[in-house]
Amino acid sequence: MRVQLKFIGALRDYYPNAEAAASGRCDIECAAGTTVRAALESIGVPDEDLYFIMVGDSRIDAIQAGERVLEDGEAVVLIPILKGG
Amino acid sequence: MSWHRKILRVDLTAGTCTSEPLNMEWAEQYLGLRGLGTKYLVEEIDPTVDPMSPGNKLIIATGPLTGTSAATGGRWAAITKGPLTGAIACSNSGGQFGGELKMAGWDLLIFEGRAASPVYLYIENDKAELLPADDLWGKPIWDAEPKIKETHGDPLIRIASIGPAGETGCRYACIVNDLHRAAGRSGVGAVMGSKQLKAIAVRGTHGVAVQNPQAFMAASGEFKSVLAGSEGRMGLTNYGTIAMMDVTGGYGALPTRNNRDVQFEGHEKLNATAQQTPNEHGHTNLVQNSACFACTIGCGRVSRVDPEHFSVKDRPRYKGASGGLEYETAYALGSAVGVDDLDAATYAGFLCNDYGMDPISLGGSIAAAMELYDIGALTDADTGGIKLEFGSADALCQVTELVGRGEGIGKDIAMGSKRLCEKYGHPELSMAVKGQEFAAYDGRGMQGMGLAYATSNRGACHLRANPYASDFTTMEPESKPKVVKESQDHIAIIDSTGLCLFPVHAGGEMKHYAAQVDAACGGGWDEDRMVATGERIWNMERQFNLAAGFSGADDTLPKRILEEPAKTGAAKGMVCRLDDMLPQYYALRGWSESGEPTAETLSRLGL
Repeated sequence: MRVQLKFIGALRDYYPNAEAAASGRCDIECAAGTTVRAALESIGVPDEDLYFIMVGDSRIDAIQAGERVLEDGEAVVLIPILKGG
Repeated sequence: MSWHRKILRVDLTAGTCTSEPLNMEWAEQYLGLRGLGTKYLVEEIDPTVDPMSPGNKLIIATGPLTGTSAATGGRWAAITKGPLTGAIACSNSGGQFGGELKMAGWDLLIFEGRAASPVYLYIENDKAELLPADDLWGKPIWDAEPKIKETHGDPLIRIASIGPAGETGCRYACIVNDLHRAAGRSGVGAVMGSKQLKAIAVRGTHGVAVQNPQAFMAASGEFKSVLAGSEGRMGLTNYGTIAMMDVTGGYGALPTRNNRDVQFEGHEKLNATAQQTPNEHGHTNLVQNSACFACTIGCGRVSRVDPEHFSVKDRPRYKGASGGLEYETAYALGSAVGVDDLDAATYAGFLCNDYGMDPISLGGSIAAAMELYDIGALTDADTGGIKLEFGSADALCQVTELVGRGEGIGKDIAMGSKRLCEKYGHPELSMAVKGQEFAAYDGRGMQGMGLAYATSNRGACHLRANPYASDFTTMEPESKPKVVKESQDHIAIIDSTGLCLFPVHAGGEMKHYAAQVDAACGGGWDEDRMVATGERIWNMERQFNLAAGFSGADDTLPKRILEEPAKTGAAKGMVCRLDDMLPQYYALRGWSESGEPTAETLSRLGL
């Protein structure tokens, strides 16, 4: 199946290649049953406190990321934790 | 010595400038800037005074660290009773003006009365005089500033002034310094205009000494190192505050179309990437970043509107580079009004700086007007034929200028959303607290921010508490009262130092602020005293508001935020659970159930 990963702002460094960074998204193939954490790890995204994770409209925490199984076509967005403005 | 121990009293009615000693007992209790300026105000005015009358006073305050080499030590504030809210108003600004005023040797300026004809104050170190401003009155800020410098033959003069919006009584007129920095909120510029005071022009060469230079260098050096290595600092330098657009836009806390929505489909056209990426004409909006006096962060943006854009096509005045979009302006002149046109928002932001208006309240008021128009409560007859539709960049640009000039429908929008919505029969459509419009966070997606808005002493504000990390971590309201109460106290004292608040988003902690204040002011300022002073300041502001006629009933949010669930995003289906947070907040503050500080609390704080 295919899922889309999107890294916001300073997190763009997580994109695995320049092409993905330029387009602002990264489509990856993964096996049925892949969790959010496994999908992120497959392209080397570290498990850090620097971001929070959205799957579609839903916010998931770090524990849920290890349990939540992705479905074909879903989008995972990593948003940096920022303050102020 | 950190404090110069000297204030300038300017009686505009009599036309006199008098030097007075600073009340050092108050300085020890309220430190400087927000705290000390507010102390003078509450001691000197009747809290029920009409904000636009000669009985109100306008205080321009620096802090003990303003003008020093401490990172971000360029802050100053305007303190008065706010005409937008009727509450205490304290608007903080950066740029170069604050440092210059401090170096001229003044801790505070107190303006009272009303001039018979327009004047400006000219300060050259110890010398201060009121000069006629008849030829400056009516001029936009971008004309008035250069004219004053030309008159005195000194390009190094630093100026804070009002534009036509302040002169015509726009309730959210601001005071602009250095062309594009501003003491923005609550209408401090309208008070200045009501006094016929056009500008304050300063040249200062005294410098600012500190009590313990060695300790100060060590403390300020550590502060700079922390900022230099901070991820948060790098984000602010490289992307500016507008980086937040992706966070709230993605999360579902971005107020959109007068808070009808919490996500904006066009937010990626208004984010840091859009600001830094060439458009179809090869034009890039962002020119460079910029920093205020002594700042090592540099979060400011300098931008240029695409010369091909409709807004500037026949207006060469606005084709140059000037203060660009920050997150708040991108929200207020973007998602709030449903406009996804980066250049239109940038142009409207330029108009705000030139005419002297707070873009947050302007955008919030235009958004309210657009909703009134959408439901038919405002008609083409009212707008003079302008199709005031959500998403119309053209309407945004036209109306912004009308507000700045105080003409047509602009006159009504200049009253602020509360008065505008009351006039047109729909007070529930004003997205404001105590009459001041929301900043760029929705209280449904960010529960702590909802509580922060409801309890802010100057009306809805994103700079009076720091619930961000908590709000992006949990929606549960239980933890919010403590986060909001404690950060309000922290910010109240930080705002009284002369340093900026943003280092707290870039690794700065209370211990860093305390160490620098302690070294500059001669000891005795540890973290505990700083926080206790912050709490005293917060309660002093609260007492003023209660005496001005506010009550706990005003610590609330518009019906929309309390009753209409967010349609999308992480808070989909949720409203702001203010009722679950407010009682606990009052208890933590040591206030009664109706929101009044108890006698015990006042006594504990020395009030």
